[in-house]
Amino acid sequence: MGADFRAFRKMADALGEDAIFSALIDKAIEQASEEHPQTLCRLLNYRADFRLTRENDPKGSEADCRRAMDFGKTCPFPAYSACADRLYGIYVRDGRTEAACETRLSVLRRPESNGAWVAKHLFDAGASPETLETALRELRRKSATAGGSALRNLATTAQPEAIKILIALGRPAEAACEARTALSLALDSAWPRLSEYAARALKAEDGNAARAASFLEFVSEPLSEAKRKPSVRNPLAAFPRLRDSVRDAESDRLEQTPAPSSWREWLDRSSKLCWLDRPVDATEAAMTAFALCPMTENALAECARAATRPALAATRDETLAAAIVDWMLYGPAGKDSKMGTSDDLDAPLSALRAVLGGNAP
Amino acid sequence: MSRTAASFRSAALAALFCVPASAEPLPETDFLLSKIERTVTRPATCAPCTVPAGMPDDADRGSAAGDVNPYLEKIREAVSPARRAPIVPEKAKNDALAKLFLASLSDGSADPSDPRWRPLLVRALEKPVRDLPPDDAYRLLLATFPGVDAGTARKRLREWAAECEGGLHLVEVLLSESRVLFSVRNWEGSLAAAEAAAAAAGNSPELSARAAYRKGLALAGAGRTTEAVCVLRSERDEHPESRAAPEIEYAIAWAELRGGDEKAAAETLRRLIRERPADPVAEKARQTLGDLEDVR
Repeated sequence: MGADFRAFRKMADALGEDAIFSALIDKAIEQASEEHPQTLCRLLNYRADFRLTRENDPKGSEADCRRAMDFGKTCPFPAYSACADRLYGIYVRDGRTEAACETRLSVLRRPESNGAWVAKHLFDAGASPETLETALRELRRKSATAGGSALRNLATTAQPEAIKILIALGRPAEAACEARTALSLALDSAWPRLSEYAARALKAEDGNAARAASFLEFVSEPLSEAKRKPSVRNPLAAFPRLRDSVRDAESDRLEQTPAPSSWREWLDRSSKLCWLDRPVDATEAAMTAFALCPMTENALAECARAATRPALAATRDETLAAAIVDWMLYGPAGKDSKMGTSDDLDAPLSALRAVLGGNAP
Repeated sequence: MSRTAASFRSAALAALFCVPASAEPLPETDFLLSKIERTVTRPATCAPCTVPAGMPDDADRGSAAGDVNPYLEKIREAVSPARRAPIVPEKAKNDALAKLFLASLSDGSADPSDPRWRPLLVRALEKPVRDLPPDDAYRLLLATFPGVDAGTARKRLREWAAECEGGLHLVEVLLSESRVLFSVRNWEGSLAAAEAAAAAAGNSPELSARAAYRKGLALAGAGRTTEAVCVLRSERDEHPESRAAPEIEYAIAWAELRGGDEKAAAETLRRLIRERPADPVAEKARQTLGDLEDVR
């Protein structure tokens, strides 16, 4: 139906026959029963757009948007988010800051939202620190309730928004920690963008760009054992473990949850521990996942990646990553499977804990 | 047929042909069912769920005696990407640094004279980064030599560029100097910088072409249009395939125009349009030619 209306709208546009489209959609909304709220919401979204863009009727558009959004979760997310964006624009234009922010937050509260653009929209609307604080909590709740790949995706969508909000709230050190957890979760392809956010947080923390520039050097330096420079260290490692109310609650919940029974659940737990800024625990969980996973290439690779990622994100030390991989492959006896020989291996977790600052969780 | 096999056949039928699971197999479907049974029946020794894809089969397993365990090798291969550290590409790093620098300049938190910015700025001359055009990067580079007049700052910048990374950026610095001085109508300064760039360009045809282009423009700007046309034509004929060739051709027309020879300029522009119709410079040439014809 959506496609029909869009096609009809295009045709009406081409013919300059707005009245036909208006009459048609009015009739459709009249006939659409409240028993089919999803259809009704979509129609209201079309009419709201038409009223705003063609009839220059912001009041009518606002009414349609509000009516659609009043259906709450029943309203399909694309229609809901389109209505909210439109309403947000109307409110910002009218200087209704609170309403604009509340509209934007209502989208953020939807589970389908990934949080993208929320910081910019709230800043543009002139949001108060309390509103920014609410948005921050919502963004963190999204990650707290997500698992596995969803959590990794949020590291590139919701977490950058949280970083921007934290900087705006004057908490750049917390922003740097947030960036650290995002880097330990995100895929390699997201590193350039996340590194930029981390650098921004460092600059805001220091009031100058020196440490931020060092961080960018750190993430772009090719580090192999031969080329490793002792001078290149991760400035993000200097910050203490990230603690906030949402993370504390999630950490408590995780402690009370029985140990996972499958490798996939262990892998999810590892991601969650990364987000909780507990890199050693995350590595340990991923190593357990590796022990339990089926011997398929994808499962092995996924678990190994999860096991080395916290170490690599924190240190970019490929020797340390190799030690973790070797431990998972051969155990303490090393490659020759014989204890007491030269290739015996040390447990990598204590080395990781030492590198990350003694008592890192 | 055993009871298990019968129930398997019945379930397979139900799935394949949407018939009730209890129905008897149709005669014409027997060959299909037997094929399915052959496919799903494996030897008792085979354990497909525990063998990674692409691993040696049972026959290989028997022959794989020795030091290297082929299964472990396969696993090693599967997990080897986990050893590699993520890396931010150089270009992304430079973009981020430039943004950081500009943000720091605008909020007053960066000291523009800090020499630590020089490597970033000099790279921005060669590979433009977002929000930092090469001319701005050059001016900011000069600002990292504070407390001296502009001429001395330029001299020190050249000396630094000659030292930095074995002089890798020297030609780019000189070309930028020539370009910036040209934009403020300092023809002699621009010409001197272009000549120094030509001398430093060595055997690189691209850098030579760009240096000649800047030299031609500086000469034309100074009113020495005959020399300018001569330098530019010579460069065009020597390196007709260089990336700067279209701009050089256009510069010839500009020099001719500046020397008052509108007819020759129009002819040069026509040739440029004819020979390089798809080049963005050709569009500029078309506009200039149109203006010339309008004036006539």
